[in-house]
Amino acid sequence: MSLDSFQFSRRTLLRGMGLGTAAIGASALLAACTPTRSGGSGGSKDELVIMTTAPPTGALLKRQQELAGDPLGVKLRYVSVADATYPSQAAATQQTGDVPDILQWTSQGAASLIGGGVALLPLNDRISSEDDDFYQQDYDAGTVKGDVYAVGTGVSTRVIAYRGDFAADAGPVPTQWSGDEFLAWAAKLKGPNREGYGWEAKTGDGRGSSNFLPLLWSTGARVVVEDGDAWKIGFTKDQLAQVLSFYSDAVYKYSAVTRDVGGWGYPETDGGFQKGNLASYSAGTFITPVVAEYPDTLNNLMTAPLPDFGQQSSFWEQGGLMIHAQSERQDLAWEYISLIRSKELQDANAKDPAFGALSVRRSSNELIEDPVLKTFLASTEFAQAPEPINSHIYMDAVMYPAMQEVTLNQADPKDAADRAMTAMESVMSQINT
Amino acid sequence: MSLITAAPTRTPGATSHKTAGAEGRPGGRKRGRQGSAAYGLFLLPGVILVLGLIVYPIWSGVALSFTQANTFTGDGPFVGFENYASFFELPFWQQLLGNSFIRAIGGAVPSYLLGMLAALALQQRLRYAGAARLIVLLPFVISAPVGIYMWQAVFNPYTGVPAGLGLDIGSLFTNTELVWPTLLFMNAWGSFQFYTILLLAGIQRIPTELYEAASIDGAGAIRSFFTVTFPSIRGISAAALAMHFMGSFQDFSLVYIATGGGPLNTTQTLASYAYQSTFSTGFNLGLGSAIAVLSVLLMVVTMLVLVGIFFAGRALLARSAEQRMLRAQREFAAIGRAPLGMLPPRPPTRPHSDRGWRIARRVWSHVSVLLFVLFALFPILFLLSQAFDGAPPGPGVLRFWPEQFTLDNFVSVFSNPAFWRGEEGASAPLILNLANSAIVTIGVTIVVLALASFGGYALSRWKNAATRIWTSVLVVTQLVPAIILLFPLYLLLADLQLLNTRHGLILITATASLPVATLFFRVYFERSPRELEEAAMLDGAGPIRTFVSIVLPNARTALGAMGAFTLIGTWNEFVFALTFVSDPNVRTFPPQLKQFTATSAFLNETSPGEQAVFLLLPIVTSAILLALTIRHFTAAYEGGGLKE
Repeated sequence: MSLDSFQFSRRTLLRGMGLGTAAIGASALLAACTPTRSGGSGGSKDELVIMTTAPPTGALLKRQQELAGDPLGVKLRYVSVADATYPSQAAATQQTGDVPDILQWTSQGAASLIGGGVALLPLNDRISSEDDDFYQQDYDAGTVKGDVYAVGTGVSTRVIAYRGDFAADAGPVPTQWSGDEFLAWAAKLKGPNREGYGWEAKTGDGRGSSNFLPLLWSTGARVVVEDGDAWKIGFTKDQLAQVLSFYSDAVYKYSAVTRDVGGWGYPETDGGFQKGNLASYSAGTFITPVVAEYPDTLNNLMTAPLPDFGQQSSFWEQGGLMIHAQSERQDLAWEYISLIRSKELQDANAKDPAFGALSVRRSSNELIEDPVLKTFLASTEFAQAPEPINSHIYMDAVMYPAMQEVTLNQADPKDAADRAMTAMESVMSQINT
Repeated sequence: MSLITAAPTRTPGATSHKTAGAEGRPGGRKRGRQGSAAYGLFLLPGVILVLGLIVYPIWSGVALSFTQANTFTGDGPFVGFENYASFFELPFWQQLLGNSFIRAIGGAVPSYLLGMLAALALQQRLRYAGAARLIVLLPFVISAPVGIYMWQAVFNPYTGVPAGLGLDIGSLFTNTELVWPTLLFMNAWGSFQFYTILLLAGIQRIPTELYEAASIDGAGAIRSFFTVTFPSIRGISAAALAMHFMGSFQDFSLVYIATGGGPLNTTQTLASYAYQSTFSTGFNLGLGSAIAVLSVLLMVVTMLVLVGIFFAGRALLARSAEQRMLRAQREFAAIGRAPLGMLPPRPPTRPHSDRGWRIARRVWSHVSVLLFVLFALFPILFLLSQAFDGAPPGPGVLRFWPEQFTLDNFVSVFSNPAFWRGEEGASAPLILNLANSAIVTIGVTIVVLALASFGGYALSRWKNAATRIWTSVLVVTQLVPAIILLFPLYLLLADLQLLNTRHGLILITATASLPVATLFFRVYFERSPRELEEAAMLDGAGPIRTFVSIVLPNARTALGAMGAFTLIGTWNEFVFALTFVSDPNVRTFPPQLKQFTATSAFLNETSPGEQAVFLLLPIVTSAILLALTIRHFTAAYEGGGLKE
């Protein structure tokens, strides 16, 4: 049989091609008529160009335009890039001389950007005029070597999100608990086709550090500490082994979760929790939208504090705004940032359940009515901003492999910590470059 | 071929096509010079583009491998072979090499075997064979992220097939023993069709007399396959396996998207590690480039070894066949002394008239085709079921059939303002991204057809050292992994102010397709008859007029084939569109969909049914394109085998 034997009737084929051509032609016309800008993200005088990984949508976008863009007489224009390539794309726009006015990324990303040669404007002078309604962590998160480069628009911390119905017989949740206490409780949440507790451990996952770091910090450690002009390792082998033991015990001592957890990323944790295949995990304020489409989970959503190793801790995760030092509209950009952080806009965000984050203003957070979001407020007091270095480097090269070793290969946590310390030593040169 | 006389040629084919026309008539030498100039002109645009946008970036990539360049700035101090030494100091460098070969061999061989079986099944004369071919080819034109997403859903231990079957086998993607078989199975699902297309064409060209002769000799289906079919497609099999081996060796998307190289580097390959080193861990452009260069060198050496083995094997087979022939001749001579009736009895032939056998064979024909159709459709059926399901999301396993049939998910997606209007200033409507895809696809196809047909024609008619070198350059560019090109290209496009523009994307995507397309047209025009061209030239037509008035109108099939090939390839192109365009108004559909499906709005605020509809969009568009172009598309893979 020849390949020619596959055939529509000639008329059908011609009609199909005609319709296809018409559709393509119409689309081409539509796209050709759409105004575009050549040569990158630099905007016109009446635009503020914001480079981001996730542009706002719906009511939030409208609110930002009305309360922060319109008063300045500018249109907001977002250009979006993939999260993994954000620093390199930001650096590349600088090379073309066609820079965005504002860079919107996580505040701690300022360190990566500066390390990559992206010219950011220090905001020290400008923030000095701000009122004292803002959290200290707001500034800490965007501080690199003493200068503040990023300030926040909204905040998330970490708590344990769990299904109340699955935990009905697991006993009460205390206001603070140790790793062992927590795992013993989480193991009771297991059920048919359901794990008790999970976390992200897949190399490359952007979420895992938010789970791992509070545990490490709760031992009294930091990832790195300043050593003159350089950084040095801020934790000991024993402190790391303590955290790795927690992950190992979750699988092999308490059987709260399958060993497969060593390969989980956020699609597995979010997706498993949504569908009821995972009873608890460390989650941020995004948990409400995560379960919004799943009535059983939404109606039984509860939160608990993170476990700790003596010192209560949580992760201060902040969407930050930075001004490009080569922007010709630096003052305008700061005015925009000030309006974004204004009481009026932050209050409006706090009252809007769809915003899905805490405010950077303490007073605005008092207006939050969403019961789940309210539970995050307690952890703002002890949540810590991550160290101003690129977490991808040490998470991918050191921490994720160690987490995978103890879960997938049942490696001894002390041995895994030993290997991780060696790997961290070699990563430090990269961090300090 | 009369006008190439000014250029020295040593190819017998070209010499045989010389006519007396050019040299024998006054002005013939001048005309020859004009011809050379015209052929040079034909080649020039393609040469400029390939040199500028492929060869130069490759050279930059090699140069970067000797520097301490970081990904942000693209430059750094010269460090000699330090990056290469750093690679060999990695504690798992042997694992990376081993995994690259697992990916390459495991990517090519299972696909080949499946492709062969599918070709044998689909070559049968069945009424629905055309539709079956369309369905079986569909996974081949579905973009990698969508295909991987579907299989991950199918293999999900809690909601996928294992849970549906009551199996507790855990995640296949974190099981160090099962992760490679799983990935290679997924890979085979989307790539065996490459062989099916090629082998179908090869099988259909085998003269039926050979099968009849084998049948008379008592060969059954299996013996016929090994004595007739396989020897006839051995050459095309080797060439296709070599191409696929190279592609699989360089590929990083399967590993990068499905496992990120895990668990514990079990699936990390040179390509995926080079990408990670450059773009996500360490931003070490120098090291990433060094690994990419090593990968190219390793592949070249491997290919040389494989080619050597192939030719040695062929020589061995030829010698063995010769010996068999001599033995047969000796036996025949011995038999020849005996009366005819004393010939040794032939083995009994299979009784083809046997009704039961015929029915069994007919049933098997249908079953084998249906098995491949089901295999191709398997993950898509789950997606379809979800798209038409109105059941509230919650615990449960994937189903082949919706629990509560509804069209609401489609209505919801297509009435979503984001689809038609987008969010002003923040995101473009998806329909605009579709339109961008249409513009870029049409633009690339036009540029590729125009430049490659001219270039391929010039290479087939103008034989000299320069064109032979250029042909080699075009072949060598195919050995280079895309990763080595990305960053130098980014900087180059930035300098040319071509980032975030449709014409920039068209230019780079078209250039990336030019080498293969030019080689395709070169082969096509090499084989096409030249009498008409010679007649036209005798009538005084120059090369341009001859090409435009005579050659091109007669090459409609080749143009259609390469057009369809380019159309579908560009429609699904992902990496360039993602990297070189960040403005949502200019971005094409695949990267925008990928970006959209990674957002919280999609993952969390979109119901599973609506998610399925969004993922079906690119599948349906690919299916429509495939249906409209399947004949040309398959012809392109056959190397322009269809002639006027």
